[in-house]
Amino acid sequence: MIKKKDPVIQIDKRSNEPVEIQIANHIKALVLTYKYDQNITNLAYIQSLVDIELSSVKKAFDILVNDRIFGVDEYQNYYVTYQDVVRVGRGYVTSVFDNIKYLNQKFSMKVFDQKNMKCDRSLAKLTEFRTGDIIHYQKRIYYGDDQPKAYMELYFSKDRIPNIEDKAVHELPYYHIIGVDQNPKVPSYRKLEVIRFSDEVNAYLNQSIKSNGFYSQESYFNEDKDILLYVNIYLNLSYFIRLVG
Amino acid sequence: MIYFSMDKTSKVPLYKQIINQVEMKIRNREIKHLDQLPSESQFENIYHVSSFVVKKAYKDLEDMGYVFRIKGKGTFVQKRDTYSANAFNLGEISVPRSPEFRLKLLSQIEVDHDYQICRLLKVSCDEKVMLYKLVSLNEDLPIAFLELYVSPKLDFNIHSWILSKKNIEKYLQQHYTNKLEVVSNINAASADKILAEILYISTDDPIFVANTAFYDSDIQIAHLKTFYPGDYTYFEAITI
Repeated sequence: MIKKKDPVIQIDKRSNEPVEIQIANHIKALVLTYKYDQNITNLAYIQSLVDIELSSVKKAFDILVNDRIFGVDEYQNYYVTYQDVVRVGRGYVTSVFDNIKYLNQKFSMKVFDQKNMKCDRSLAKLTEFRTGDIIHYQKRIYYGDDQPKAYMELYFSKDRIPNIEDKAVHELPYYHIIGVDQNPKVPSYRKLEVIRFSDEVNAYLNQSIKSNGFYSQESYFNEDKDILLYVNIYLNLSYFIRLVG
Repeated sequence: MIYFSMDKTSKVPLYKQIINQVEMKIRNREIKHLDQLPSESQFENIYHVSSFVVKKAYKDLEDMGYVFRIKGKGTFVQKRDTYSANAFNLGEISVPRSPEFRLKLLSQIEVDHDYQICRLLKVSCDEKVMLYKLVSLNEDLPIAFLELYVSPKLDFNIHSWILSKKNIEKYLQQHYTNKLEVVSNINAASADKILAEILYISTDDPIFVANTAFYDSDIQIAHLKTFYPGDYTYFEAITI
């Protein structure tokens, strides 16, 4: 509970970081950790906590609306929009595509910066590809109701290079290409962590700078344990994973 | 002060001697996470080793991930294990488990009029909900911070749970109900000042938040929030 005597929103007026970004980041942290009450969307209340002009608090709220943490109605009343959005079965974290589908949102995808390239030493160190292997690289952004949900960097093995001319392949989520949907037991390694996103990633996800988020590193293999696909996935903060045990 | 023994007659370069000794002291647990290494001027005054040599040693140690430097403050030991768990195992997401980990109760208070918690536990805001704050420690370093909210409907004994060393889910099931349903969600957030202090990280650093709700016949009896330091935690799923 936010108490005026013990404010949890603290700003540093000497910091180089604009106060509205500081306030937005603090509020975002409170919402994402469920440490808020109904006053969190009250402009005057937040202003009384941080003691700065109302216009700066309003700018902070606009950032939160942009990040889809807050919504705003026609009377300029703010409300928390961030909520449990995905419920997936029996403990399995499924794909971004599945989650968008579960939400009954319109799915769309953008593929860009695609090229064939040779695997260099730094990529070989990170993945199971070998230095010198020809791989196909592409970036993707997955949208739910036209809002970016995930940004991906994909590295396909030479056996699985999708036909760049084939638009239908681009429109499919990656696991359709490698057949994971047909065979959920396809050998894979997935690692999920929370990191500070780069400005570039936050821009792709339409999030404010310095936002943190989920980063998933995934490798998929064939039955002979040869790597088929390596993916870096960066999830939007409004993307949420819910597990049922 | 951390002491070194520098041998100028040795064939091993001085910068390498510093690196070797820091590595050894970390391995032998003589120095621990966040211990401060001597400054370049202290090295110069005590061991008569030039700042150039110390700079090189510290740069290499930083590249190797053994130390980190804060401008104007100094060089500190970076020796913190990363907690990893199977992402398919809900028990490990809600409460980090390992025989080495120790759960420490920080406080227990009665909370009321907490809008979020009343909403979550579906109790009236006049009812007293118990809030237990705990930290899971490994060698005195925090693995996770936990906030456990327990409904007044439950006669819960926190000490009994800690002593049982059981997964909270199994403990609740054994002591209170056999119809327990568990729903967890995870999200990404930033640390506020309080979380940063508890988790030994900086404000705004990434944190991994797990929310676990425990239901008995559709009535929520407890809610657990678990906060992991993002830089020292990951969850993995392996089907190879």
